[in-house]
Amino acid sequence: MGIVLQDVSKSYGEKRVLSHFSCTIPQGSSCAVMAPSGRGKTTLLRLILNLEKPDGGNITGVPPEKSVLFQEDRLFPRLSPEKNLTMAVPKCSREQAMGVLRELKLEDCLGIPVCRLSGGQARRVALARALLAPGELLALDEPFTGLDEESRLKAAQVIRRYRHGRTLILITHREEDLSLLEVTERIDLGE
Amino acid sequence: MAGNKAPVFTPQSRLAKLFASLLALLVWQLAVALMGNPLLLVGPVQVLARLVELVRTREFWMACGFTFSRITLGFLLAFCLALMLAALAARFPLAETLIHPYMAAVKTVPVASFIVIALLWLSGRRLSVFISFLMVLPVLYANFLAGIRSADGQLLEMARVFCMNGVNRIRCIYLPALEPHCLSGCRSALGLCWKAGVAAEVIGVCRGSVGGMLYDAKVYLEISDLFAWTLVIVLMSVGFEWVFLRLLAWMMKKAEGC
Repeated sequence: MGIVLQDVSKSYGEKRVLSHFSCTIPQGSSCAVMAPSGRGKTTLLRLILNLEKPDGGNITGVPPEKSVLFQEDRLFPRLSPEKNLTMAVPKCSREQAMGVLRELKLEDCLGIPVCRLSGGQARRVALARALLAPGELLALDEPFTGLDEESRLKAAQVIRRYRHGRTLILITHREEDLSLLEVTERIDLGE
Repeated sequence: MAGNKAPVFTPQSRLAKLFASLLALLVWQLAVALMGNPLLLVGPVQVLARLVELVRTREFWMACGFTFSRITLGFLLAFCLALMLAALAARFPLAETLIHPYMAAVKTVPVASFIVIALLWLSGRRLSVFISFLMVLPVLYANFLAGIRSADGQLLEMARVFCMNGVNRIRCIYLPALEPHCLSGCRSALGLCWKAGVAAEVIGVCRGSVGGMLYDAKVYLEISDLFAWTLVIVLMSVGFEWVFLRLLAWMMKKAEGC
């Protein structure tokens, strides 16, 4: 069936972010949530992830295990990239962690605390963590922030390889990200 | 680049601190000369000479061992209980409300009152454990609670989504948040712990302890002994603080996985 949002509304104080919003994200599909900044893309993701409750409406069909790349990197600053992965993802082995980090061209960063990495490198570590986490839902909030063109192409390639048929929700405001990740469904919040 | 070199003598430099310490010793010696009464004030040289004599006796080491073991035990007990209570208070708001009056009472009641009350229940030999425990408990509790509460909310949210286990949450999220609060709390508490513990030994006239030795020195007007034992307390307090804080910081980093 997939994830179903029915008549969902959400406000922060006086500001209404989502108003009677409905959509369906089919299971195994790849779906982009598009909108200019500040139009509720991240709020929608937070509602789907059950990190916030909607003021009204229902959200059903969200799998219990989810893997997420948040808008912020949310890494353990004093730990190395490989430790960040093995600590946050319970079933991730050191070998798996090293493998995905190498694929994301982070081999030079191994063993270095992530607080000493550049913004782009830290973003790729956070992406690696999301890709290794189990779960039928893979949610990526602005995954290519801070990446140069070459890193962006490489990261997109790794995302496609590690997706393993999971439902993909991509939060972005860039049209070109859709083709990079072969996105088939699209939800526009800006209309 | 000579222009980038830090100046050797600044108010914060070690050389400046050493100079200030030497100056303080000089002021002390001058005060002794001005007073001219060795029954009221003795100079640093006499104190050091008396300390060298004391160090050679068995009683000195017995007293140091006695006081050190009791005050350290009091501190460590307070450390464990404060950590448990802070975790409880951070998790359950009702627990914080229930704990608050006890901590407020311990913080505001003078240490001398506690010593006199505790003397009714405990022997002088156990008093320093209880008093040092009691005096540092609210300091450590407040710091631990602030540390737990300062844990990064975004990381906690991430841990929830990724179903991180409890041990890893403590290691990677709570320990780094707790570390600065824990170290500064322990730094304040350790000084207080020694002051209160020795005061308890003096008031409780605990024979065979450093406090007991201080009491005897006062009774027999052995002013060099009084100063020498005071110096011993300062050295034990500073030494323990130095070792404990470094050990604690190292253990916390190891536990975090750094």
